[in-house]
Amino acid sequence: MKEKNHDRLRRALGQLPEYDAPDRLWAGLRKDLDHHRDQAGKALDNRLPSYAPPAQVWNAVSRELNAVPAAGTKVPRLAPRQWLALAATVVFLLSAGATVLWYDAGPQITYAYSQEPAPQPVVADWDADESSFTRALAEVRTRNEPILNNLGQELDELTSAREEVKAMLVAYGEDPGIVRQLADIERERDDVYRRIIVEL
Amino acid sequence: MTEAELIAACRRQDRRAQKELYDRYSRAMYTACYRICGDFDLANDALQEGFLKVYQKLHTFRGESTIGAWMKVVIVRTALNRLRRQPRYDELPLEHADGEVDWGQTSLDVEYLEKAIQRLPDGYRAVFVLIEVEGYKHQEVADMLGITVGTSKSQLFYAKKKLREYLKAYV
Repeated sequence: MKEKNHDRLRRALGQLPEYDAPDRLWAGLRKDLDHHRDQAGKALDNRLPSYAPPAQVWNAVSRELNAVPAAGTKVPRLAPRQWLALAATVVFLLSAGATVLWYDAGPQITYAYSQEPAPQPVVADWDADESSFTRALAEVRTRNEPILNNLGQELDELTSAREEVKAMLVAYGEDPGIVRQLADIERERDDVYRRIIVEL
Repeated sequence: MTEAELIAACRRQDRRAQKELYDRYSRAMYTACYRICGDFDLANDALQEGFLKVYQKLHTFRGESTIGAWMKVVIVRTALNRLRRQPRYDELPLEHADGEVDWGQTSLDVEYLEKAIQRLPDGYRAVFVLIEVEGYKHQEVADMLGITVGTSKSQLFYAKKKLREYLKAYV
């Protein structure tokens, strides 16, 4: 092939314009790169489907394993009853071990006590203050005043009642009801006694 | 960043380095894509797909040529695959190959030349662009297109004849 004035073509070709790729092109490329990076990030086996082997595969493997025991291991052949006995022994030993290991004796208990002297029983002496009452009545009679005479008479009546209750106490023992009655009479006698002291 | 550093960073999937490589070469690659495809939409698709292949195949780059030359082969091949109809690169009879193509005494109008190139049939245009514009040898084009060197030569001859006719028509 011959060409004439080829330099004209060369010069014109050298002046051909260049073109800029549109900006959106990088955005699309970046998206593609991200997508491929994400895909590459996933392991191949995660993207490929997985298949379950047919049951006969394991059956065959199992048969092979039974037929050819692993080198260096000798599996003893035991009768079913021997297996049961062996299993029972293992269970017993495990239970015993567990019992020893996890035996719980419970918390340790200690007893603490102290002795205190019991207070001596109080023996009520109902006549302890009787002399005071006697002196007060003697003074009332010496004064011979109406108010004091009334208080003196009241005190005599209460003293008589007291003597009756005391007689009951001796006759029936220390009945709580009689003791309560005697205590009430003593409080009233104390009250009359205070009023006599005030008047004196 | 040197070219070696840029390539190393791109191999590590460094997105900034990938953008830098794109910025450095996208103009030249896009222009080549457009000349081969004769269509901007096809050129867009070819460039995007081509750059993606570049990033994915970068680990195969051995440094036996410049990175630009290596990238251009990848992207040009992508652009050729993007042509709407795969052209038939039949070996045409070269009985007229002894004929002469005269480009004339006056300067060629660049705008007309561009239009004339785009009018060429896909097969003619691809060979013409690869050899006359991109500077590949017939053997390289033959390898790229899967054709013989003879076919590449005959395609170029008829491409130039056709181009000259178009240019005369524009004038």
